[in-house]
Amino acid sequence: MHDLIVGHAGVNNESSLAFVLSSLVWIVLRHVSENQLSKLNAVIELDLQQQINVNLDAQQHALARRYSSFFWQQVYLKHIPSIAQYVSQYTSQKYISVLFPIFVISIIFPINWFVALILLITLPIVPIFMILVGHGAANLHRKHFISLERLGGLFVDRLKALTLLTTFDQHEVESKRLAKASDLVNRQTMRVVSLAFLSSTVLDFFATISMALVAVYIGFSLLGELSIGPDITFHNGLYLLLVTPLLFAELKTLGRLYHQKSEAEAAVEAMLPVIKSNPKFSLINASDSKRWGAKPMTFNDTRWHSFAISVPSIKAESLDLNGQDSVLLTGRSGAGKSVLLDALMGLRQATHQLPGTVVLISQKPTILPSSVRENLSMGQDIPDSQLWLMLEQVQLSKKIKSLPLGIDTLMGENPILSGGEAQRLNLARALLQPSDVILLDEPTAHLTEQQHDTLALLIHQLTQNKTRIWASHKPLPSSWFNRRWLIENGEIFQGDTLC
Amino acid sequence: MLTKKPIIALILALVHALSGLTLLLVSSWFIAASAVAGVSFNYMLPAVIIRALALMRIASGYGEMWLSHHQLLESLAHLRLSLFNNMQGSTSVSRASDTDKLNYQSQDVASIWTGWINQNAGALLSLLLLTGFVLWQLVAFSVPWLIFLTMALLIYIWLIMSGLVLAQKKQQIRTSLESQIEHHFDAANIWHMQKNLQHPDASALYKNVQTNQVKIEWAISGLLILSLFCITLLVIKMNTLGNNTPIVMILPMALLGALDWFGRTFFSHHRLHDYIIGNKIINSNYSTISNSRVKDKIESIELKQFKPKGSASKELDITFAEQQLHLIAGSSGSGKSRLFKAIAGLIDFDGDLFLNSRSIKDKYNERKAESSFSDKCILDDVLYVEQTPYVLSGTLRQNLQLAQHSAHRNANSLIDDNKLIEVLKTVGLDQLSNLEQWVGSGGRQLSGGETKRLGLARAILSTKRYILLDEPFEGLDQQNIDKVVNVINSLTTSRCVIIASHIYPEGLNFDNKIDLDSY
Repeated sequence: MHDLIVGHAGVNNESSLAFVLSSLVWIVLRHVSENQLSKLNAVIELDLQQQINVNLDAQQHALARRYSSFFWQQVYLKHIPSIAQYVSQYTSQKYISVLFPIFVISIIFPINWFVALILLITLPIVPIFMILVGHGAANLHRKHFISLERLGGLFVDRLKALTLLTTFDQHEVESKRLAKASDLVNRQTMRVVSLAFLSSTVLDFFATISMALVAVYIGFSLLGELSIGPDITFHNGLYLLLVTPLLFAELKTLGRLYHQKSEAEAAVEAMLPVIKSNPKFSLINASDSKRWGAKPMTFNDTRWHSFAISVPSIKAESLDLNGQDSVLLTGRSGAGKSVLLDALMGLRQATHQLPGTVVLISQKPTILPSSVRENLSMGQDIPDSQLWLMLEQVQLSKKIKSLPLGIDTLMGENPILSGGEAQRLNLARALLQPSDVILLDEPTAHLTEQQHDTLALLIHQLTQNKTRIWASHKPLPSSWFNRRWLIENGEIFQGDTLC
Repeated sequence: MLTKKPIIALILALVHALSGLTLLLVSSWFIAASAVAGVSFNYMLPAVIIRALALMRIASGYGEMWLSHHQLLESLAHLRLSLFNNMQGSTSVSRASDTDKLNYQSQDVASIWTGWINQNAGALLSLLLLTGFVLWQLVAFSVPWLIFLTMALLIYIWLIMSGLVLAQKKQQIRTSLESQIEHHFDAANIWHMQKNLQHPDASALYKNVQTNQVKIEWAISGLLILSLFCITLLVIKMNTLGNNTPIVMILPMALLGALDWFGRTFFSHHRLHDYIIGNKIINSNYSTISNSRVKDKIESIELKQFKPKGSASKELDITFAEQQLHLIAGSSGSGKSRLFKAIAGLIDFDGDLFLNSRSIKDKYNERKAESSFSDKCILDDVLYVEQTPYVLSGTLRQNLQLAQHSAHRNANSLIDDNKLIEVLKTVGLDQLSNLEQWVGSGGRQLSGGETKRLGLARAILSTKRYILLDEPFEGLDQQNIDKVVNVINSLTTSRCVIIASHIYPEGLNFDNKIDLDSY
């Protein structure tokens, strides 16, 4: 498509009509090709986003909580566009800038082999010098890499530290340090940059040299002072002079797009772990038919042999679970209790996963900024009477009634509920979901002892008729459980003897 | 200093642009002249001029890049420093997305010269000079040229104005996406219960950028068609003039190259838009956050019906005195951190706070009368140790010496290394004995437990008499909890320590326990 640019050069063909037509064709083709590129760009962006969202669907919080929400903002707003730009613009430009000079020389050759020869000699010098300069700059950058990284990030770091600096009254000290650091960074950066800029200057220089050579050659030939190579007419001369700069035009464009490469590399590095396609392990309760109102499923005498999670490695010789079982899951913090629960939900690669609909109550209560109602119903249509009944059961109805808009009060950014209340709301939400198994991941971890006692009892009373697996650090009455699982050194032991 | 560099860079940019254009025109004229005139004129001079122009173009190009980059870095440093200085006493910018925004927006603002002004000035000056040239030498061509000039400028202005609207919209989309993504990912734990779970969709943002690209492409195609039209007009005119003067070559050549010397600026306008938006936001960050520091030595703090402003938590009535240990019990989310911040004066409060038996509100009114308006009074003798103390990107020594009172810092009385190492040992951070070690971002990452103990070490090193510890035990194993308990108990021999925690380990000799939870 781009090759049609040469049509541009047909300026002094005998008929100006041909010139106008070919120019028009070039303009239209250029327009179409650029639009196609930006369409391609959009397709890639949406495709990347789709891939990420599929992975998020499959692994849910097991994937999401591994990174900060800032990381995810960067993924959607920065990394995806820069990868798409690199793929659509830079990679195609890379091919064009290699093929195009060859094409141009092959056009020049039949017209004037001597000009073609001049260009053939000067052309390879350009990339050689560009590579040399590029390596020099990269080496220099590598030499200062650590200090550039550390000092360059100081501004953002000290902004994040504002509370700390205020409490210690260290603002002025750090301000001086910041000034000194940026001075140092700027000096080092300039050293790298002075060299890096040479790269485009080298390209310019050789482009100009070859242009000058060609121009002088043409000029003197026309004057009759020089007689090397074939004869030159005015038209030929002008034509050659116009075609020659095209030789370097695409390389220059590539140079302008070069920054896309490093941006995309950084983006890929950041995104690789979340975009790697995972073998399909579907979430059973994702299908909406199993949702609200579906019949609870029963499972009896389930025994899993050689259960294993791949990353991090957790194994069990066998795991037993019957309907209505109540399992106490223990283990040191970091032993992998949450990992096991994730795997049971089907959010991590493992040999087995729980059948039926699984609901999880996690350590930290999650309150959406929307209304209490939306926090409870999670997009389903649940009658008010049922919501209130549940609020009554978790002993929150008094509190919710006292809110200005009752059940329709927005929770906002600074929640109006205390930690214990928030966890009660979480419990109510989970219990409103139809579920076959309920998983509890230290739901009282962040509560005071007193609150732990009351809330644990409440949870026990409300879930004792369900199949439940309860991970806990804090003591719970052993009469609540008929099974015990202990995770230690990557292995799950089960039985009563352990506790 | 700051004002001279951009001007020189601008001049170099103009030289670069003009020598490029002149090079094209002179060489085409030269060829035409050679063909028409034969050897009958001094051909050496133009040949020399061409070479001189080429070298000038390269040299000015490099010089411009170098200088304007230098200026960019300098003004960026300047801008960031003044932003930072302005935020003294502020605790508002702490979220990663906010700091990131300030980071790139300051870059947008600082790069206006290299990114937009220099390029566009070159292109506009070329237009101007060509116009002058046409009116002076080629009056016969003035009509097509003026058509070109007007239309090209119209396209140029249209692109800037409509792009600005798009850019403002983009900023809105971006901001709303940011908060959407943040909320969505904060709620990841309950995704599995959500009916019709929808993950964030940034396609509106992608679409916006694409629309802008398409606009630029239309502008370029418009420019090309326009120049083609004018060239055709010129060629027709040329036939009536008879093309025996080489100088008539110049205008068609200039029009043919319009994409290079004029159209390229079309890609630079987003820099102008980013500058306008970034400048607005950065200026709004220059709000007057002025708060005063109360430097008095504190003998007692008394809270009366005290609670953080706007919070729904309990009102407190307590007195804190020296050599006491208070435990504020409450689960996470019960507002302990906000309460601590309010006591330390980092955020506003309702109720009243008595310092040495005198209401801080009296003090505050007194100050208000005598000096500038102030929002909050930061208590200098109170130290708030965050739940996750911030680890500065810097050496371990810097991270500890921070605790030294700023009044003593200027003298040669920085805390000596032996003392620092001793304190590290006390809090159980013996593994960190190299004070030169870089910690925090870009260096060794401290674990959650290490971070907490670093905060405690700073508290010991500081001379502040009221220490507020936010969840000091969370995430520590029993051995380290015991160590921290010992440190806290020994701190109370000389100071007042207030702990907010949902864990109360054995051995903690607290004088008073306040329960924040209503349940």
